[in-house]
Amino acid sequence: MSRERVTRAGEQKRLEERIRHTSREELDLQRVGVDQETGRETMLLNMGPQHPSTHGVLRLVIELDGEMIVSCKPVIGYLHTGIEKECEYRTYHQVVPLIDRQDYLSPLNEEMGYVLAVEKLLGIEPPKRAQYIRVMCAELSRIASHLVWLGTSALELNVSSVFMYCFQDRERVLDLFEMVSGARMFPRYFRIGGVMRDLPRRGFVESVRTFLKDLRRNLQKYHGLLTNNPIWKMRNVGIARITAEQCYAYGVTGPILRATGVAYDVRKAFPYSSYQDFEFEIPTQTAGDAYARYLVRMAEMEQSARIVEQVLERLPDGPIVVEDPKIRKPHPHRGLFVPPGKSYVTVESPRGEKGYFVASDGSNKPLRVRMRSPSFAHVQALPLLIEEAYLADCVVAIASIDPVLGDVDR
Amino acid sequence: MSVKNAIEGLGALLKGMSITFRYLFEPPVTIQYPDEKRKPPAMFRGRHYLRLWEDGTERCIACHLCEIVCPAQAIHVVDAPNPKKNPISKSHRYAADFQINMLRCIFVGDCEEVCPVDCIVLSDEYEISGYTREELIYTKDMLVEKHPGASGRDPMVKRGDGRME
Amino acid sequence: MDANPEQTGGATEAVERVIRAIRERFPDAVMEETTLASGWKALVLSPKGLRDCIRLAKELGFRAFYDLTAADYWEIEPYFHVLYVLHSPDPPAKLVFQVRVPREDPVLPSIVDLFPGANWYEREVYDFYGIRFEGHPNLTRLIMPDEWIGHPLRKDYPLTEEPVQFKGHIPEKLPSEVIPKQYEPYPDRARDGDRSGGKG
Repeated sequence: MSRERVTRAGEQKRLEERIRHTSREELDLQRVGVDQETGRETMLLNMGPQHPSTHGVLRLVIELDGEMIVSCKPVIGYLHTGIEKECEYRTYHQVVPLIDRQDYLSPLNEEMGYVLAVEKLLGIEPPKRAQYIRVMCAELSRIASHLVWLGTSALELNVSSVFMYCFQDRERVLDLFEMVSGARMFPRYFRIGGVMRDLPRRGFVESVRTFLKDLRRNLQKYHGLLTNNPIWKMRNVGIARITAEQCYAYGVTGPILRATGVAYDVRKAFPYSSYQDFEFEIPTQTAGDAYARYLVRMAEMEQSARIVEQVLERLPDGPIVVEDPKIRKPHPHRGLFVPPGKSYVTVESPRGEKGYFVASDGSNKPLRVRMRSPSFAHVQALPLLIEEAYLADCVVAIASIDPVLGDVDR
Repeated sequence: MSVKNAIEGLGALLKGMSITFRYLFEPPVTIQYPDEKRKPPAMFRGRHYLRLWEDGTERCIACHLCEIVCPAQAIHVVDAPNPKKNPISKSHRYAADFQINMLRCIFVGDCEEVCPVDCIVLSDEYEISGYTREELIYTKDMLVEKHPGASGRDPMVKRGDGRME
Repeated sequence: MDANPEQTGGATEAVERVIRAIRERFPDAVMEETTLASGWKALVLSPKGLRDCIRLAKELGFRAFYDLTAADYWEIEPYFHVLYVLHSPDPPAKLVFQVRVPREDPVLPSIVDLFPGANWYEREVYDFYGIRFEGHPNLTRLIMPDEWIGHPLRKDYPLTEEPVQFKGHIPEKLPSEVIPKQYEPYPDRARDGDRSGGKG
């Protein structure tokens, strides 16, 4: 596809002619939303794709009346990389590193969803040790993602010390992933039928335990810095409200739904990968605003730490991958063959409820891999949160939704 | 704003400032790179190396498995029959040309998993940079280790066990 | 060894009740009732009865919209399979509706007035597959640039890739052709038995 080449000089000349030939009244009426009687008009502001506060390349076209937002239209598609199309041309095992890179802040939850969907198509179940290791990795990944959320939302309200402390904690989680799988951000650790390698024999369990101890101490620190801070409360209480019925209409799930009072968590409602063996609570709040979401996510970090401790106590011995050699080590020239069917699996990612739809036609490459990303629905619901609010609250609203643009655009 | 609110607010602010004040007396966590470097853990997936047997012959038998299994298709292997007089590898064929396009490579580690003779390994070097695209296409002379054990893996140990602690 | 309880899509009684109600009210719209491999119940509908069935499901408790997606079954049959996934908040349950749309001139009724969240999902399906939704307020491209021609996720749209760059050689196969797509009849190996996955 080609665009027409227009020279800048020609454009400039055309604009000058247009301005010269229209009268003053006509020029005024060409602006947006002008009110003839009072003379007020609204302004179109482009909170462009390159903006430090939009959590990625998200573009918002905002219509402003002074400082009040009248309407808002999100424009997405700037990070589209065609992962869904690529997945149809790779074998089932080669798809795993691709989908790692969608929600790059918590990649192990992505892998969990895809691997579960394919295992359902195959009709197998990984051994208990592999399931427990998967739970531990998914919860550590959730802690890492919430730390990024906390750091960046504090940074956008100019609390840069919390940003530094959160990323220091996150470095320790990434070091744990490096110990287990070899890479910090894109671990490629889960495989269809289990996990790639066993946990390192020396030093890993102690590192996790020290990390959890330090995390609990640091969470108290973050609470002391933010939760009762009058400036933080003024910026967050009552901002970006959403009700539960609006959430249902738009498909909003995750911490945003839990902050409106609905105790829905996929790990409890449709348990996967042995989550029913662990005790944890679902934190909820009722206000539905940005402060409530903050409290819910802080409590979720605490619950994730609790789950990781239980995993470490109860980790059983055994194999880490299914015995069947056709699944564990398929022939490299051909790949894994999956019987035809459709499979839809949901997992709880830190952003919300993530869905994986894998359709197979009996060959060695998937027919369709579809990721139902929570951030897509949340960004669609963004105008509900920020209309009739001030421009400064727009930043807080986006931060409290916690979108990841890699998830939205795929 | 009432006096009670003002005092509460001031108290919360002071509590926050005391937390940050305590960091003055804690040691910094920064590692002064490039003077100090962190040693990555044993599982780390870094730069590729083609290993040698302990007597110096090359391990690679040009079976093309790593080339096929790579999700990014970053490897290219050309095989040739092994010369009878001075065999380069221990099998019929050896790799006459072995190139890895480091710009395509996403350091997944599938090549290492699938290699039947445990030849290609991902070591723990992470400083891979260059100025042009051509210098980041690694050829065989850049990939083969100079002497057995130069890649950081024990040449006597077979199949991946050399990495687990 | 006790196997894990599968994800069966939640409260099966609620799902069964709604399926029965839909089958009674609109018997000619429901073509088939299946189960996905993950255990969820799915109803295959005809395009004409789609809106009525979804409205009835919404009234009977499935009032949260979850997903709208499509898959192109070009190599097997000339149809698109469009999936609607609805969620019921209490008790938690999920229900899937499937519709088969012919590949030439694919048209479906829009459900934006029932679920406002379906707006972007329908735009995305239009963008990637070309399925038009009648009654949609603003059916334009969402993720691809506005002036893109073609619908990328269709099977006859090629994957644009180029051979990887090497020194002195261009590989003969494109990256996606190195392992070609093959069909092999899947041997019926223990699909009915062994669900424990390898306990020693």
